[in-house]
Amino acid sequence: MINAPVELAASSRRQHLITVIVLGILAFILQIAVAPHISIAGVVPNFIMVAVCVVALTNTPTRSSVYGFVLGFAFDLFSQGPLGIMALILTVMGYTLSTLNRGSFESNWLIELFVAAVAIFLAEVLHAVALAIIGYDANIVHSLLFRALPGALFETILVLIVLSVAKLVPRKPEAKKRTALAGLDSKQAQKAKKAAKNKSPFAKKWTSERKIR
Amino acid sequence: MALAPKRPKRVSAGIVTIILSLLSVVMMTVWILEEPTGPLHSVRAASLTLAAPLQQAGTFVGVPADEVRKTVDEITTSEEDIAELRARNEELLALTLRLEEYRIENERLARLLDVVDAYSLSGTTARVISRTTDSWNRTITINKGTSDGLSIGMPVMNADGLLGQVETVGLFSSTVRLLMDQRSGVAVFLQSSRTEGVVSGSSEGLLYLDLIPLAAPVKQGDAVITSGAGGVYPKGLIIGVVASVSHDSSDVYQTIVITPVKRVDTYEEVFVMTGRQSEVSWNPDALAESKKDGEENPDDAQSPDTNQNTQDVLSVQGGQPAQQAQNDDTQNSGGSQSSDTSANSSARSARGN
Repeated sequence: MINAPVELAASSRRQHLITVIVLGILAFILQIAVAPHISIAGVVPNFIMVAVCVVALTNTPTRSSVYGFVLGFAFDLFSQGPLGIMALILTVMGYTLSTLNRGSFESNWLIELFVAAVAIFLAEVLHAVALAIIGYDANIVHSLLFRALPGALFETILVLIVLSVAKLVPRKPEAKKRTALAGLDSKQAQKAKKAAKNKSPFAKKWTSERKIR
Repeated sequence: MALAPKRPKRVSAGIVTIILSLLSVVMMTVWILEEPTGPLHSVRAASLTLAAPLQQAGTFVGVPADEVRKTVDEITTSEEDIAELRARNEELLALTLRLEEYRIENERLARLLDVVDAYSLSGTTARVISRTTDSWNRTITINKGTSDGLSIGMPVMNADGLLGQVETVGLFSSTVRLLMDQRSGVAVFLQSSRTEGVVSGSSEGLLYLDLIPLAAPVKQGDAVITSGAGGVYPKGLIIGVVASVSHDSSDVYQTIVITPVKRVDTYEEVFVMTGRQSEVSWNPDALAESKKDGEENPDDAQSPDTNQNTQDVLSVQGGQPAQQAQNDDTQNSGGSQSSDTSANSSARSARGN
């Protein structure tokens, strides 16, 4: 009886982890098998970056950075660039995006998309600059114009599609689930929500987390 | 009162990120510093073998995508383009007939000198199973690897000309870096004027012919052919034709854009040259014999053109051991880019990149 909420939470976490892993495998397969065939003017979409972006918007910073590293390393293995460059970029991107998201704009879908687009663009620019620094890419201006910018646009569209699909999928409201896990009734949950509303976004997040614990 | 379960101590997300970032930087540094046969390069070669079935499966997805692309191309082709292509087709037909005559003459002269055909290349055909998986490289993956005798640096071509060279070799598949890639570089000459230069790829997907002086005569439609200098590619393989020529007043070299003979994304089979080739090989005994025959029968003496050909053969003979030695050096070091890429970097610096 006492362990029921804990078991429920563990089961939910496991389910979430499986979803994240499946998303990673799917992104990897798409990158290897499909992406080369849907390139436009030499710009190949980076499904792996899209997956890291989506996971970072819905997960903890630790999990996001580890996820970014693993998928980035897989990308590096199968591309022809220096090994470790995409792993580095996606690790930093995963951590930063997840930290920002949990701190301020968790509930606003449009802001999420905007910040994801900025993060993707910065990641592409960072990639181009890193390649230029190590002498792999000679013309940084051309790289930015013909690779980074169109690539970022392509990937932002993909993030938009993935987030739209995720919104369409019916799911149990998160707040309700958390309340059930914490053993609170709906009145208590509403009180906590009201109190949190009067505080800053950071305070709101911490209040709700404390209530759950 | 039940005690809450003890939560395990968690490492901060920042620390995890820093550790993983450092690990990535270390990997990148090792990758840059190590030889092409180093451990990280070997890991990539092994992963290529694992990915081959997946990439092969991807070709089924690619078929409808390529069809869509072709249809869009056909729809967007203007009447002017079609008329131009028809005119070009007629020109090419006439050219083919002339070339056939030359081919027959060449065969006859080659028999006379016992010269091996320049295009009797040894190698293996392979199927393209995948194309580049990222925007920063222009590569293809083929379904042949070390088990078929392939190794790093081997030139790859198809019926339309040179495509690139093998860069990574797995057990059953290999990656070929295409000429369009900005890291590729090939020593070439213009067929009409014999002016030597370097063809290199670029990030915008164009082929440039660099190091051609302003005084050199270059016109649209000139064929660009490998010169054999650098020792990686054999002499005489066609790369493309000159599409545009331009230069600024401050330039030292002309800016020449090359159009490949065929679009990169349309071919399915390639030919990997596994043997060692130069343009021609020759038999000195047969040459001496043919000269002797000429002296004995002055009536059958060779024409000035034929004598010129003989001199060409002799000049190839002089250059061949040096080129062969260079080829050996390239093979031993395992370097796939070798001198051709150093030519590429000098060409890029000349272009102001």
